[in-house]
Amino acid sequence: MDAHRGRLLRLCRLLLRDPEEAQDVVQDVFVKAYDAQMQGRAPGDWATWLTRVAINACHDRRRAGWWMHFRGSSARGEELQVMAAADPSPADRALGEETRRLIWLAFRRLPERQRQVFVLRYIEELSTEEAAATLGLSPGSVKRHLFRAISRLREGLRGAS
Amino acid sequence: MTRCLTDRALTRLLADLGPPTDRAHLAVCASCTARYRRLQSELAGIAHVLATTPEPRPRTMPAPRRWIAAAAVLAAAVAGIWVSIDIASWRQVPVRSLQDPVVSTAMTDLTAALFSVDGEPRRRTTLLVPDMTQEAGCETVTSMAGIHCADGLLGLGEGMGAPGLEPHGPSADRADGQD
Repeated sequence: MDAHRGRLLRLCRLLLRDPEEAQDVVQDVFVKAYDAQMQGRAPGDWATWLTRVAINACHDRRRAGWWMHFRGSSARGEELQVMAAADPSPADRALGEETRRLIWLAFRRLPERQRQVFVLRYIEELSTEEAAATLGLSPGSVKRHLFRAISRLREGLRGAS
Repeated sequence: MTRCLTDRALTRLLADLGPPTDRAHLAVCASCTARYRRLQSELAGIAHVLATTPEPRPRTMPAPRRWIAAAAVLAAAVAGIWVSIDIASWRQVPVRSLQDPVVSTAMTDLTAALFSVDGEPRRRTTLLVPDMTQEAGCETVTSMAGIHCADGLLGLGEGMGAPGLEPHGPSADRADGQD
């Protein structure tokens, strides 16, 4: 399970805004995994199961979290962001802060489904079929969402430059 | 050889959506292949940034200002409700109409004072504002001190003795009949 923790944390951080909230979701996902294990409902493929449960949990959080979004990120979450931002890698430094900001901005403007598909295909590096199985979509639908996500991301970066 | 692919066509191929003809062109066109690879590396760079860098802090209003804005909206809403209640209660205050006896009396006195002769208020005058609640003629007009009916301008026809403004109407007819 620990092998999946970092991956799920990254996934939830991308699908949510608040790092602290992402940690809460990952915690919930592991509690559900423990329950499934204890009740004899262990899935054959833990990676896909965990990813699917994490995506659904993030979706639920986003749907119910309008009040949290109004309040903005919690103080602790902002502290975590500041601490992480203080130590970028050399490649990130070369990329430029403004470019990184534009990438994040374009990514956050994507509709939720397109964001999920892009993350699964390009960051989690799942195949079209695996992403479709995880999200409960058809492969064709995943391809269309991916096409729109790529187009919007490129438009966002081109329009800002 | 077909024409080179557009950026949109290349993006479709990247998402496994393009037609076989476009993929066939991509296989033989060096220029399109180079653009396709550049697009791939661009997306890989985006994915790398998203996966490895923290999200920049959003440039939003600080929390205290946000609460101030919310409080201002709430205060405006409360003020609006209070004003609307005030207006509603103000509309319910009864306004004295011209048919009110008090107003009618005041108007009569005012008319008498305005059209007095030698500083004395005229005793014979006509009520300017008839009681509209009754359909009958001059007989039913609320009056005081022997007011007569007249249809002249401002009810002054008979009272001022203006030529050609003889009284008529039910009371005048009856008076003629009695003579």
